[in-house]
Amino acid sequence: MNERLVMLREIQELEFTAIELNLFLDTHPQERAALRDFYAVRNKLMEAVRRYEEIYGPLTATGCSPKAHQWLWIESPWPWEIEYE
Amino acid sequence: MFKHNIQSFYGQPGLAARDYKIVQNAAGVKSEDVQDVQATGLFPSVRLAQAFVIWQKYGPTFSPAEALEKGTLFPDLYSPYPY
Repeated sequence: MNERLVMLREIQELEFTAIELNLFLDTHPQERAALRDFYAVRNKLMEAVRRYEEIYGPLTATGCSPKAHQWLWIESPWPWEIEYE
Repeated sequence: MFKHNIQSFYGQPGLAARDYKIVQNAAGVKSEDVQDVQATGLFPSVRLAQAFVIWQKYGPTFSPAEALEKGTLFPDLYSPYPY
């Protein structure tokens, strides 16, 4: 479970950073450095999500799933059922 | 001079309402609403506020881990105080 939490934490951090850069770019669309950082974070985020879903199943209903013949989406744990600390 | 200022600041609502009405019509505010508010004499007809926000420049940012912990990616926006 610990490895799963570590991967989840990384995804949360990357997604938060992507959203922050997104909000900044909304008001500073010309800012090249921010745009570059945004794409770097976005690529890392998508890679982290892909790796996580490959092992543990979809984070979103339309995410990938290691078991093609099983609807993993409804399996536990749901986000609020996870002990993050 | 000083007395006059107090007078106009808390002055009779009627006077304030008449001045205020001219300004407000441009903004499409129904003048009788404005007069009601002013008529109570509670609100002097002064500008509400003048916000001044410095334009944010892109500089060094927190790492993703630190950003999630601190609640912002930008050191300039980080406030260590709980409230």
